[in-house]
Amino acid sequence: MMSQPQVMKDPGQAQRLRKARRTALIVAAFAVAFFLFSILQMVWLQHAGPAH
Amino acid sequence: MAHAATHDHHDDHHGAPKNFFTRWCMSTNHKDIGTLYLVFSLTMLFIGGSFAMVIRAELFKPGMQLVQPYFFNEMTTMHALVMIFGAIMPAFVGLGNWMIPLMIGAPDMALPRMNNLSFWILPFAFTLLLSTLFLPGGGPAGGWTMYPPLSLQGDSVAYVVFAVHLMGISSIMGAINIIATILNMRAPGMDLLKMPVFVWSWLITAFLLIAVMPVLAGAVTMLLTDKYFGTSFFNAAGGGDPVLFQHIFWFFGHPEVYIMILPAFGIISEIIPTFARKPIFGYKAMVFAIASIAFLSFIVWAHHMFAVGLPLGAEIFFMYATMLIAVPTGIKVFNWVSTMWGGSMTFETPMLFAIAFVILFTIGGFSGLMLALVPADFQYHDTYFVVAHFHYVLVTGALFAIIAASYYWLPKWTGRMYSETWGKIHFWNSVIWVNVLFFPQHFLGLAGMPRRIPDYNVAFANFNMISSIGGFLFGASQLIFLGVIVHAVWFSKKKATDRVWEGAKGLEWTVPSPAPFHTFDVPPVIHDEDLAHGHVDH
Amino acid sequence: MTCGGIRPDGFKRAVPLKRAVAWTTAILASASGAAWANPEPGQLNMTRGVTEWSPTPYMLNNVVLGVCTVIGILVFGAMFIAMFRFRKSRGAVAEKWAHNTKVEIVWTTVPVLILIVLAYMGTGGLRSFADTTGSQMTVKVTGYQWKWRYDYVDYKGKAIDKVGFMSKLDSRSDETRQLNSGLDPNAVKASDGYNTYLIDVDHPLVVPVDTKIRFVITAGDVIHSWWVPQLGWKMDAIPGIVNSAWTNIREPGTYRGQCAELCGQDHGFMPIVVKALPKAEFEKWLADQQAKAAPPAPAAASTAQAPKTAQIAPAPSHQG
Ligand code: HEM
Ligand SMILES: [Cu+2]
Ligand SMILES: [Cu+2]
Repeated sequence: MMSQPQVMKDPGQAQRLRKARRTALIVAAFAVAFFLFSILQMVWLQHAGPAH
Repeated sequence: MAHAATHDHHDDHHGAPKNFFTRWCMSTNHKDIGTLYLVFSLTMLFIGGSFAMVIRAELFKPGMQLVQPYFFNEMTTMHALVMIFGAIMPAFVGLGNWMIPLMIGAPDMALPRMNNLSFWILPFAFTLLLSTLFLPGGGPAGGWTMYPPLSLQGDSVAYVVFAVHLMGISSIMGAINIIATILNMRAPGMDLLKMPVFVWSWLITAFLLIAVMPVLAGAVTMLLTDKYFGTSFFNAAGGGDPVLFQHIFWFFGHPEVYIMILPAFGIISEIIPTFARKPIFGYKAMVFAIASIAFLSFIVWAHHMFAVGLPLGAEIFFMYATMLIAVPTGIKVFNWVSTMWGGSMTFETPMLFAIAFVILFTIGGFSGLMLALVPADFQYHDTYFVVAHFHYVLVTGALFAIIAASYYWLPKWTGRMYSETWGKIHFWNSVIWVNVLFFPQHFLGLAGMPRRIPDYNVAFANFNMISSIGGFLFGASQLIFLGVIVHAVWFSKKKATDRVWEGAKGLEWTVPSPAPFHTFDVPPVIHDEDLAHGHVDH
Repeated sequence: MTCGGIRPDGFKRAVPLKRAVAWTTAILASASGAAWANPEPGQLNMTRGVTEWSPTPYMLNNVVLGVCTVIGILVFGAMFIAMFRFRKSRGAVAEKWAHNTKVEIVWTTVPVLILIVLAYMGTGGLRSFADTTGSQMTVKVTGYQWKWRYDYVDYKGKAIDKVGFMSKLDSRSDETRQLNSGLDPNAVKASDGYNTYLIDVDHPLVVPVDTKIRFVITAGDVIHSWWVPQLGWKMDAIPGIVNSAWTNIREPGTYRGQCAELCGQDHGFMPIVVKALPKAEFEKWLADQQAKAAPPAPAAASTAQAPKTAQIAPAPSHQG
């Protein structure tokens, strides 16, 4: 149902697209890590006592 | 869709789906999604603007005339949330969506389906957020900064947190898409250091988004668990610390303000060279300045917290780090002025807004420098002086850049010229009234008027009235903007040329106006002299 | 006595700079007037304040404002010259250059030097502010939704018992500020004719002049911020944390401020009034209060008004 993304007619572009998907995954992993880290750090601080 | 057409074919019957629902709701096309973002952002601008009108109406004169204090607080909170997350950020994403593929010679964004999802989350997020105003418990009223314990007193915490999560997911997906696109989808020959400054600014902004939106999500998640699941992250009675929230919030919050200005820097760096007919001064310095501002934005967050009782060493560190940002910011301003110097300038509407940006954003930068000095900030903090500061950088900064970009690229989007006369009328009204609106707020803050109050002593009456008058007229002026856009999209008879502006350089001006549904099916061959600074030695 | 002096010499060193911009600051400073009443209608600049510390933010504000004004005139001036000289309509032809290492070095280093001077001045003031030692009096300030509580802890080395009271918006202002009350804010005035709408309280904080007073500041519910512009600082009142700050008021008088951290619906309606008395008068006032507090029957409405939360001691401090 979703309208189809543009078809790549150029082999170079199809190749770049594959690399782009890998980049996207790596960046997404970072985002998830930052989210977890922000909470875990607070949990840790609560156990270790406030920072100041 | 195995239709082989050259990209500069004028018929687009093979392109955009005819069915309205399929075309807009199911879109995977970067131009249509860009348009959706921009329309959404304009809608939010008017919704957020109407909240501002309520605020300025109540503050028109001393005494409570229109709304209850609690509702006033809902208005200030919602105004900020809607403007930041609904108007400014989506506008930049929309501009990025439309222009980045055109500027780097890519056929579309790298992840077109995710692009659709990023956008379509937003209307739901804002429906959720705005719906709280109509619910029995009322909307959030603890400020956009959501400091606990106050923010936890509201009944709308779960709604707001969920809405913020949705906005965050949308922004993160948008940022992932932009990074993947810029890093991988450039046409052969479009080296990183040949990219337009706007593309650079978005690349760096996207990294900021990836780093800080998850942190905001973490912070509001902890608010949620503190409220409903018995944790005490920020609850002093349970061993938590309310100040820790402020640290996490501003670790997000300061980079966030740069998320709202770096793409604006990019836009201004496109427009000024075009209308000065001279390449941008110090291209590499401009890119490097953006990168260093982005880096520094991670180590200055506590300048929002000088009055919470930080240790002396922390106050000094954050003061120095904050002041450092003035250096790359200054470089940018000097470079824009130098680009104009020795040029051959004309003053069409985009250029007028860009020039106003340079002056008025710099005024906001000056007050930022003043705020960075801790002893002085003990006085300025949480007064109207801060309100004046961030409206100079956000309204005459970010918003003016968005408006400038809209005028600049509108002919490329619609294929028709907007009315230059009405554009200029819009400009002069905006630039005059915005100053009437915000300049007196410096005085109010210096004289001691706290921010976020619905009523005030009569000593503050005169400047508040001036400010409110400026506010109403600035708000009304934006209706002219709406009129100019409607005219340009549906009624204008004046066809735009492909290049549109005499001095315009860059790949986006090599495609027809309006830009066809699909562009760069086949990567363009890059000629350095087509680029804004491809052949210039820096 | 040593009061953590504010090092006025830090500013003497800045005098040449200050003189260069004196015209701007003079205009703005005069507009704020020598009057100690604050705020004044039409006031354009920060108050100089009335304490040992308060000239620090004031002078810093004037200097940095002057610096920004000069830079602004240079940059915007250059821009307007460019806009005039290099217009296409005047036949200007665009040049090709886009780079100039020499000027770029200049406009990177000159701002750095200016910032170093400003940073130096900002730091000099801060150290004295952070030093709350050597105080002769301690007052505990507690913020509540939406009033302040003041407890006198000690004076001249002697602990004070049972002198403490709630301080909230005066009833005239409170009636006037109700939605469509029909009452005129202009009519809310002190005996000297000064308009006190929303900046007057039932029980002001009474303190002596020429005394280094240490404030310990906390809150009972949400975050508030205690701010009197003429004292030259604000400090957040945070539940579970005890912050401290100090003042040494030089002039007897009544100084008005407001809560400066959003704290709920009546955040705009919890002002602060500090009444600074000559030492002898203050001591007499304090003696009266202690006498009133001494008999078993609790005195007046002051302590009785304390809400339940006021009885709960804030969680232990972990903050200096
Ligand atoms: C020269 C660069 C800048 C400096 C040195 C600076 C400094 C500051 C400081 C110290 C504050 C805290 C004031 C206080 O609460 O007491 C502040 C607040 C703020 N700034 Fe800036 N700023 C700069 C540029 C910007 C830019 C570019 C933006 C956004 C586009 C921005 C947006 C804001 C906002 C939104 C706030 C208020 C946040 C809130 O409390 O709600 N600033 N700035
Ligand atoms: Cu900041
Ligand atoms: Cu408050």
